[in-house]
Amino acid sequence: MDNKTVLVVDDSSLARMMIRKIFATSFKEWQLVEAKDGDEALGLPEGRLRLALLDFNMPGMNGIELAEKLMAKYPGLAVYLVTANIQERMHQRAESMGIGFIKKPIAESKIADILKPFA
Amino acid sequence: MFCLSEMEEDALKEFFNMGLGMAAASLSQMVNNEVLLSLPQLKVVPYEEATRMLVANEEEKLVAIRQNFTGELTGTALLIFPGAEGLELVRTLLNEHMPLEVLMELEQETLQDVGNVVLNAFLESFTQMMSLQFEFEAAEFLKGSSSFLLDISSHLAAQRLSLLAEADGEEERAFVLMMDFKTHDEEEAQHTLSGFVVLLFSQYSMEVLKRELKVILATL
Amino acid sequence: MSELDVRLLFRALEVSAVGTIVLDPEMRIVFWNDWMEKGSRLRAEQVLQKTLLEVFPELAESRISRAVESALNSGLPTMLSHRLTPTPFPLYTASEKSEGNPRMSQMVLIKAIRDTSERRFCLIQIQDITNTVSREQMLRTQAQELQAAKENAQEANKAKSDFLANMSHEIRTPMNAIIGMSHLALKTDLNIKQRDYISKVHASAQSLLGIINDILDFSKIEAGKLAMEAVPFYLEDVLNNVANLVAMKAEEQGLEVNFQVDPGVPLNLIGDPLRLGQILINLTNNAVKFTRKGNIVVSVRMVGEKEEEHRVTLHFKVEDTGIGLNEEQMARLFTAFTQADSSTTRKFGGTGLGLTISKRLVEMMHGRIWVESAPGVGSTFQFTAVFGRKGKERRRFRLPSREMVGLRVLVADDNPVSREILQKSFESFSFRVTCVASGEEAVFEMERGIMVNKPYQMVYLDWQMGEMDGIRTAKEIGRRFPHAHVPKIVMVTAYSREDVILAAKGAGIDAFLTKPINLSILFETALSVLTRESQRQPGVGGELPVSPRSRDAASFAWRGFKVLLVEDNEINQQVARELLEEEGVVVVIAANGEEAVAAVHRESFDLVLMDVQMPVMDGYAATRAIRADPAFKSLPIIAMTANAMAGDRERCMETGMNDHISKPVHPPGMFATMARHVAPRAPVVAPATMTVVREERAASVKEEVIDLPEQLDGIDLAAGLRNLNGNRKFYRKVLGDVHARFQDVAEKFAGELQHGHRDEARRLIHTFKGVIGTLGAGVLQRLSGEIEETLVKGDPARLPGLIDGWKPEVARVMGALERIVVKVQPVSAPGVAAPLDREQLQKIFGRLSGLIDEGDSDAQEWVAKAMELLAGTEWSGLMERLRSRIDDYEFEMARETFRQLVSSLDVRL
Repeated sequence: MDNKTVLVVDDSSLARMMIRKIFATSFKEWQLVEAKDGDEALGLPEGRLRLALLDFNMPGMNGIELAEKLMAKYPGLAVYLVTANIQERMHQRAESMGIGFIKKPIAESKIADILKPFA
Repeated sequence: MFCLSEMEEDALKEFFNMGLGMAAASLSQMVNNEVLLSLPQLKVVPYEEATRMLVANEEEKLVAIRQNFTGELTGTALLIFPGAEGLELVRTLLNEHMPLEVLMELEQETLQDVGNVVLNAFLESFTQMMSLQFEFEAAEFLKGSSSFLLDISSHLAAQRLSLLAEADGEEERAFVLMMDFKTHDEEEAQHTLSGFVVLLFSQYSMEVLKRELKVILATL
Repeated sequence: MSELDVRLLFRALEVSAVGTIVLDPEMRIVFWNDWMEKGSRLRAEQVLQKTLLEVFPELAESRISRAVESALNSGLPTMLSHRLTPTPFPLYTASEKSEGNPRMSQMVLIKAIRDTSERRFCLIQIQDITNTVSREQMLRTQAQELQAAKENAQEANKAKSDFLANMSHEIRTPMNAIIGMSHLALKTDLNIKQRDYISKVHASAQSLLGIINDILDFSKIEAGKLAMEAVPFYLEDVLNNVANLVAMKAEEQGLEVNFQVDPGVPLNLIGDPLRLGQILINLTNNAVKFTRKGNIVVSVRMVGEKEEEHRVTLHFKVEDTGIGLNEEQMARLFTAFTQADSSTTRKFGGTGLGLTISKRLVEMMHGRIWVESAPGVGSTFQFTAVFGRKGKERRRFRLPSREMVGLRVLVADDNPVSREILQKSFESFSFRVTCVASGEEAVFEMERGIMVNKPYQMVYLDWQMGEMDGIRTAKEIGRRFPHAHVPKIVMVTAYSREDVILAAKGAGIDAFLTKPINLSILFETALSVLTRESQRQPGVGGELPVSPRSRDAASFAWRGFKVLLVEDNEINQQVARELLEEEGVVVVIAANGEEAVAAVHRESFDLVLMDVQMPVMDGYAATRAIRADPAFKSLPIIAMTANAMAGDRERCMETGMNDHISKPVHPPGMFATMARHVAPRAPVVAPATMTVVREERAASVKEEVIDLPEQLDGIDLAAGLRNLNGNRKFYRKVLGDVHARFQDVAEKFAGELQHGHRDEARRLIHTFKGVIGTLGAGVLQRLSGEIEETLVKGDPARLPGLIDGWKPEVARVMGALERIVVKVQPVSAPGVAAPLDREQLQKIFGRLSGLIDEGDSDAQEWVAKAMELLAGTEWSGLMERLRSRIDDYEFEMARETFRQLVSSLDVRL
């Protein structure tokens, strides 16, 4: 099986737990790496990341700033912002950077949609 | 004494964050501008202290939209703007040059609508996350000094329910959840208006909330 | 509730003036009232049991449908105003004001309600607000019309002020030439007639400029364009400036102008200093103009304070002893274009706008202006103004040491007003003041002071007073009292300083002050005089210090500064160039912005003076181009513009210029402005003779002063310093060494002679002569030389006479040297022990040994000396113990401690 790793960055452990639960029950082939903010995420040892799910509103750098850095570090990484707060301007900015969106609250169906290309 | 575990607090903040995130998205659509949010702050404090926390300057004129809810959860959600910001928001929304007296006439109606959009989006996240029954009253428009608007006991009293009846000797406490937001105009590179959202719960509701949080966390 | 009641309620809802719909949990319409039938033109039976979206398909994805969903799903209520909901219900209005537009403006409330089985239903209520909206529409149209009218008016107003700005520029450019050129011409050799003509041209141009400025100000005020600044400023600076501007004119007329600031008036204010200055200058100039003899007093006191708001109300008064005004004249005074009457206008000149402008300015400062006057007696113009307060400070005059508190000061002045002002001022510095009205009284009072053992340490003498003027008084004081009792003498004069300095030569004056006296200058002068050694020795080199009025710009060394002058007008080029070159500034000229940009890249400048309106490239563009290069980020660029309209200054700053000089150029103002932006490079005045003791610089100045006193009795410090190649530190050390080695030279010399050791005596006097010569003690060197010569080959009979003349001079020089030894030692910082002066130590300990043995309390004095010597060393603790034992007369124990010290210091007794 492919070594598929997803990075989840959210300052809320509840949000991380919810994502973890979805992956653990429905998408077991994925390995989960978690971080509570941008600095911690960037400090993780280099690995083969395929996907990153980032909260937007976090202490320190926000999701978009983190995405930019992650994309430089892991070329070919797919990045999604997981947020309830999808505003037009932010949407445009993220879209121009090739970042996708998942609207909170997170649900299995939403994760399933974005995992399709990795199947 | 009532307190939340770290996990519970975290969960509550996340709900709050989500709720206000949605609210911000709606507001952003209305004002056609980006809305920036602060990280949520959560405190469990006696009523009096909560009031003090919110009232930085007693004489400051504020406008607020209040939405009370009752049922299994009883409390008050407030969307608060410094006085001048309310008018500024109306001006932005209506996107027109208008004499001040006309603006003032429209202020209440428009802000009530805005508050509705923001608070509904916010409260919806609560109703979606928790299987609790509660009733909402229509949003009200309030205007006055901050010492009046942020006096928590007055909001709770306005609920007509005797919230302070739990005389177990313990000091009555309130949840205060606070989050700042401001709109950001990219072209003019400036913040145009700001405000904050406050959520207050009665003591009884806090217990309910804690129970509910426990249930949610247990299923994860 | 009974059946009947339910039907009644149902009926009430049917006829209600609010559109009412009830939806079941599946969004089907279950109630539709009469109002809805009218507005939608759909009957209830046509819609009941249909879903809302079936009836109004256009509502899909609208806020209404979302609100309905959220009510049914979450119970959340929604209120939709017609403004934020672009697609309300497609209904028709019954309002009469719809004017062909049948669309209804609505306010919609959507709310969840529950039935008995707790199922959520949705209640929709719709209000017709078409009338309100059309009224609002009307208001808005009106507002737009008003706005348009307002913009038109502003347009017209702008055209008018642009015209004014242009006129101002057009007038000021030639004015600059006239004033500048006549200023320069007056500095050339002219015969009396020519000088008369030119100075009249200069004066007329100045007054014409004043009139133009008045008219411009007036039109700005009329146009509401005059803006008040709210910047922090220092009240003294404003008064100082007024004093400088008014003093010359007053002096010409033989008038005294006095300034009096009440103690308690806060000096750090927030407001518009330029406008405040303008009012004061205007009132004071008027006073000068209408007063032929007597006094003008400008006073300030505080009348109100709002502590919590940091605001103060100040009351300014300008009193004169001039021609005065009658009731009728007073009434017309503050109206534009009138003065007392047309005859006075002809006689005294002026547009009469000054007071009108002042009145408006005062009003803008939330104050009022009024006048009290009686013909022939004089007038008092007064106004109040409100200022912000910066900080809580009340007095900035703090004496540097406690010893100065209560210092005795004697003031002699025949003018009661200035006596009072000096008295109050000194009292505010916490000095003790006595005032007298004449020189004779001053001398008498000094004698009295000495007799009761309360001598005066400082005397302020007015130059012009009756029989015995200030100079004579100073000479008398110097002659009558022993040296030790001669106080510091400061000469106060309302007249040109140069004349007095000349006349006062040799009178032993320590400093000069020019009236009107300003508090901070008074304070600084007092401090610098007190911390300085006496000036009394005639023939001693060095300049007499003068009050620091003229420092800042004038004492600033401009020589060698390189300035780029960017100016297209040739006459203006010439004016500015000559003004600058006169002060030694190297000037390079660029005729436009482009040349300026090229010039700064080609060579380096200390400063750029930039005209704003120029062909090819204007000053703004040039500044931006220069600033675009990071290398010139901090190059000072000062605008020189003839545009005095509000906003010009701001625009200059925004473009990146550092400051602004307005044309016509006022030369001292130009240099003062420049001085704010370039760091001094080589001051013209040597640091030792600087009289400025500003708080912020006090530390370094003090170091210099103590390091080397400015004056030493009998010693030409300048010559001595020259001899040592200007090494001040070394020189100081040598002075101390000489003192240590030769302080008993007279006794030693006498001893050698007494014992017949002529050779030793000759060697001693020879060495002494050389050393003392190096120090710069010329007189003593000459006297010593004569003794040496006589010893070698002269008439021995002359010797005693020579020695008698020599001894006092030795005492004088040694006395002076002793003062620096005593003065210098305490400053050596503890812990940083200076190399021990063993010779001195040996001597002190020698004396101490005997005194302690004898139990003589004189030991205290010598212990103090030893302590100075040993301050900051490891022995200071033991010394402290020694001192306390001697102070307690515990001589036995003191001897013990002394022995410890002696052995530990390895002193041989």
